[in-house]
Amino acid sequence: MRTVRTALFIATKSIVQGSKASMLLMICILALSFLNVTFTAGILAGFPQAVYANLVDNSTSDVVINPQQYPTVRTYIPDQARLRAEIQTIPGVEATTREYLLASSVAFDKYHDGQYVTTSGEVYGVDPSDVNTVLSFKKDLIAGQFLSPSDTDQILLGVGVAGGGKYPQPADLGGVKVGDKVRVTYSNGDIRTYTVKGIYSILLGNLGDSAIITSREAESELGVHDEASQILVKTNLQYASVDQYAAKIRALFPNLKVQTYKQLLAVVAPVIAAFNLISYIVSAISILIAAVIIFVLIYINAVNRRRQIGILKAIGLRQSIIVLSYVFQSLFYMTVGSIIGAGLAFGVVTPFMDAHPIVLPIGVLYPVYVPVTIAISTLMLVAASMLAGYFPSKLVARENILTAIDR
Amino acid sequence: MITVSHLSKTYPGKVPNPALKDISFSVTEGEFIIISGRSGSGKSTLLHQLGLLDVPSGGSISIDGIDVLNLTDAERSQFRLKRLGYVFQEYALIAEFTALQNVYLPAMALGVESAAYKQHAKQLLTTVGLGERLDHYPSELSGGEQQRVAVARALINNPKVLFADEPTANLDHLSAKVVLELFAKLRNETGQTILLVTHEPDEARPFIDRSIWLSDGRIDRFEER
Ligand SMILES: Nc1ncnc2c1ncn2[C@@H]1O[C@H](COP(=O)(O)OP(=O)(O)OP(=O)(O)O)[C@@H](O)[C@H]1O
Ligand SMILES: [Mg+2]
Repeated sequence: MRTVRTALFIATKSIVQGSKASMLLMICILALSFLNVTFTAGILAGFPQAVYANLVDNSTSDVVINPQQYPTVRTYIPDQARLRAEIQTIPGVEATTREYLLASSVAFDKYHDGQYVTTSGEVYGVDPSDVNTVLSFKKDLIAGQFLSPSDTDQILLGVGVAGGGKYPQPADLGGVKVGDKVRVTYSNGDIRTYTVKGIYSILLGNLGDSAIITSREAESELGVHDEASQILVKTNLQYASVDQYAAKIRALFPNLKVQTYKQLLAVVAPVIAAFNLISYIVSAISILIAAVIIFVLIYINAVNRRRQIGILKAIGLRQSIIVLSYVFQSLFYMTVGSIIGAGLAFGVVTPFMDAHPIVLPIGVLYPVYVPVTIAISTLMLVAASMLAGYFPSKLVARENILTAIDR
Repeated sequence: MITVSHLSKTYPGKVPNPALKDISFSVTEGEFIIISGRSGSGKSTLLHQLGLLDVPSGGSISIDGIDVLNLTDAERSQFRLKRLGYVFQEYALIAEFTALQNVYLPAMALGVESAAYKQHAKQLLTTVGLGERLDHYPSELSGGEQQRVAVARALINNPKVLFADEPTANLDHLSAKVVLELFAKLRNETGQTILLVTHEPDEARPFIDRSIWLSDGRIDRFEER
């Protein structure tokens, strides 16, 4: 008790009466270290989030329903309107839409000289009236306009097909413009010509390398009615987990193939896992650097106070009191530094990032602050600062009293 | 109270410096002794060894019946805190503490109750003439004032033995007399044993029992008053 009281007293006096400049410097560096640790972890955690969000928004939605696989494999889901109406009754389901997938190739005669450039790509048949309640690619339109439900001779091209965008692809059509005509050859041999109504840019997922027509046109081409290649379901994930929604849908339609975005994006899971690993490593390194900085600063502080430490020992203060007083001092610096660092992270950097988001081709990158990660890094920094208070003062306190006082 | 036998201290270095050679003497409880000698004769070195601030090269020291050279580091600290008072030749005050705080820190570390040690520290500082300087920091005090703060600090835990290395060196005659009288009073009232290093034995003579003269690291002679 008296050990703590005495140590606290020494620590307080040393902080209050110590050099203001070095205190400021110390707190400043600690605050920046803290910011570095949380921000680095946050932005790295934000990257996979952005990738997931982008893929979910642009191609998979939350739950995808595919045609029957067993006992016979079907190409289409029949009676899709009734089926979707039923799905919409599940609490938490926000919207549904359907798509037709048509294998095809798209050809373009850029110079009107009969020399067609051809690229293969899927053509999606969508319902313009509701597709944007589930997928968000309408906002990714970079030229022209979106389709209307009644369009039959209009087509949208992904830049991956149209070409001429910021990211030209070897197999694209070399720069199709809105209003140009393209020729689509379907897998059954049908050839149809469409006017390009719009061009959109999506860098992740299949849609970017595809073309889009209305479901009405798709049905006319396929000779089907009220069917779908897949049904996409958007859910409120606050309400229930995606697995719970999938289970409910499976219960309604046991013979359809129901998959969640997690299952569909299993291919990117290793990439994201790798990213998380990198994130841990980088965070660990920043924590280590912060710890070393704290250690060096406290060590310099303790060395500068050799004389004080010598006097304290000469008076007869136990080493534990002296060491504890330095642990208190570094905890103080760490706490103040962390609070200021957190203030910078949440009060300055986050609003700044919100105002000036980092827009990547895959989407907007925000720092994602995972409470557990922050708690762990804070704990580690606190531990580092305690060690930083402990070892240097212990080293200095071991010195001969007279030499310590003399200098 | 204190028994020193065959004490020696050689400072290591390129040319080892034998600062103390075969020192033996004893001091009885309540004795007031001065140690004198020319500059460099080893007075501070001797006091450092007795005050457990340094480790001698040979010999033994017993204080209050305890073979102090065999104590562990922690035991030495506790021994210094409880039983020894030490006034450094170079004051050794803590810059971050006020005069009052410098004085009461040892009592705080000993676990004395806060009101009591503050009261005691004020009283000691008033005695040495610094009643008006309680909240001044060492940098705001003159050399003589700092020295008196150091004296007050050495006395705060009522040590059985007080070592003082030229505590009056920077004081005018009147202030020096106050300090010496204080020591004498303590000795008379509480039976403290006092070893005082001084350049000016004449000033201290009226108060003391005995003086030890050092010369070149050896005891030259003892002088009874
Ligand atoms: N840390 C040290 N390392 C090496 N030699 C030292 C050290 N301290 C003192 N000495 C030497 O030991 C001898 C005795 O020194 P000491 O300080 O004990 O003398 P003193 O009698 O107290 O002198 P003064 O009256 O000037 O204070 C001197 O020759 C001095 O140079
Ligand atoms: Mg000396």
